[in-house]
Amino acid sequence: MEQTRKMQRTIIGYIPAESPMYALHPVARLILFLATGLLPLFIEAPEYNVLFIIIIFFMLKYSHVNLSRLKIFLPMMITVGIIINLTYFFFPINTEEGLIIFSIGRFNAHFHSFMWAMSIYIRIIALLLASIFYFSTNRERDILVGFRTLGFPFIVSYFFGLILRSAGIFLEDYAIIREAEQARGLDVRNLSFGGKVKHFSMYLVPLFTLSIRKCEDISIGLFSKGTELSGKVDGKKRPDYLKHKMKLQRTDKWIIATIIAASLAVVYFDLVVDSFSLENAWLYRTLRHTWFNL
Amino acid sequence: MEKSKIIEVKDLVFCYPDGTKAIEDISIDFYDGEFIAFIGTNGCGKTTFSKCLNGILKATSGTIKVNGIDVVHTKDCTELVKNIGYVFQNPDHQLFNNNIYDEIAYAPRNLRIPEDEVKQRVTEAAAIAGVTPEVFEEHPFFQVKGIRQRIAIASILSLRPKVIIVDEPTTGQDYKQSIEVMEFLKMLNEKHGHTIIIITHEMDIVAEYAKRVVVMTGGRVLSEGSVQEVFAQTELLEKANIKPPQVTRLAQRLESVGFDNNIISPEKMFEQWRQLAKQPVGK
Ligand SMILES: Nc1ncnc2c1ncn2[C@@H]1O[C@H](COP(=O)(O)OP(=O)(O)OP(=O)(O)O)[C@@H](O)[C@H]1O
Ligand SMILES: [Mg+2]
Repeated sequence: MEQTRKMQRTIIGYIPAESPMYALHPVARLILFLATGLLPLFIEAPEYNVLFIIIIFFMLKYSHVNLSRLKIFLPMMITVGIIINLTYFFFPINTEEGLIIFSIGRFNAHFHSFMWAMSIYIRIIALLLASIFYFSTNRERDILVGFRTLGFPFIVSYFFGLILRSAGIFLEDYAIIREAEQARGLDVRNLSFGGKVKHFSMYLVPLFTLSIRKCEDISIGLFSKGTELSGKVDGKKRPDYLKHKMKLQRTDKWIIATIIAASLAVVYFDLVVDSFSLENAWLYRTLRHTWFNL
Repeated sequence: MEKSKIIEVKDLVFCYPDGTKAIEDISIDFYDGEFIAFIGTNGCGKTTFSKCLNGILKATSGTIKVNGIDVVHTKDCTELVKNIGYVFQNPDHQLFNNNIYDEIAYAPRNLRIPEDEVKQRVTEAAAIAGVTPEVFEEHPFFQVKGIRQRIAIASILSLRPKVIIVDEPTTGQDYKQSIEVMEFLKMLNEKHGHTIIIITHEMDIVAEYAKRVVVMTGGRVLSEGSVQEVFAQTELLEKANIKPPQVTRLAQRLESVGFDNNIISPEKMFEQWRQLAKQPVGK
């Protein structure tokens, strides 16, 4: 069939087939994901993590991911923010310093708690954005090749593959169910927020029933192909078609080396120099100074 | 008698978000009360076309009018679903209520129809679809496939749409169930005056039930017309990788001895054979 603008379907969207992301080897992409997603978890200082978020945004833009799709994650990001802030408001930590921003009744908003909530929140957002980036720029097979090349055991990548596959099927079913609903005159735009939540729960019945029916099909399929959960076949290593087709290029190696070096640097500065702790953070000290003159 | 147009399609083009141009350029009209079959190989765009017709997919360019409503630009999807209903291929995608009654009542309730009329519509739709009130309380998911399909159709029927599109109603069903579904659609068409569009790969079903056939390849309409007309176009069908029913092919092979090339039923074949047999040999 004729193509207008060639797009490549990824796990959660489409990016143009000629996106620069596709020039990289899956392993480079996986390591990039692990670095951008996991490194912020080691860093408490919010300003550095904001830097990470900015970098991820640049990568999204550079890979031509449609940024307007991020909108659908907005409700989730806001909810997470509210929950974390409320938790630290009602169950504050490190209160001995007694710095209080404001009070409601007998509950006090402690400065340290507030900053800690912010630090956690930004780290979660960085991880979330890194995941969105990874899953918007990778196809199922890229992810699997990445896993296999990094030397994960066969079973791990195998299970991960099945999970990805079912996630794909799940999303596809979800889209069709929504279409079916539209065909029966439901206008989701007219629903209140509560209505939308209640409504979402209705989808769960067909989604899970379909999943269960398909799970059974898949397991029978695996059984009938004589699947054994082992990386070896007759004592030899299981061959992997895609892994052989994709080779690491010079750029990939440079990227991987840079990321590893940067990660080591982060770990060094975190553990040895303690540059990334919340108390030493520029933002923390500035706010403490402006609000409490300390 | 001049029939009124119910669907008007003009210069329809549809592209999926990944850039696949699934509908190239289609212009066609359908009339009130027709029984139409869309045929063509896998991936030729039948499902995409019918989803465009009822506005589930928004056409990339071109116009579609259903009963005067501009499908491509209308914001009011409730008005649209009153006119055109679409039954998905897999009933499991369209059943999400806890019991069969609510399932059939779901669409009319979306249209804010008063509850006593909803009740009347559910009873009527269920009766037409052959779903008995005894099972109303049961969960739609745990019925056998044939029943699930009927519930899916009934849940669209309760909207009383003028046009009903059914995607592959007989796929994966045995002969008896296929016939039941098709007889049911035929009754909707003849007794209740619904315009029916089916999508199918089974040419025997087409020959037996459809009045008009639309042959599609590569996102275009290759040919359309009455069943006899279309099945007589041997070369064209070959291009679309479609084989007419066996009886038609047999008659076509016997064209030289006087059979018509557009026979679509064994009864017609037999009748012609009787006539030919009466004629003196050698003539
Ligand atoms: N969601 C989608 N995204 C991208 N391309 C799609 C999508 N759905 C269908 N297509 C493509 O559009 C074309 C037409 O598909 P469609 O499902 O309309 O065909 P069909 O005639 O219904 O086929 P079948 O007989 O297999 O049901 C195919 O090339 C198909 O691969
Ligand atoms: Mg189809």
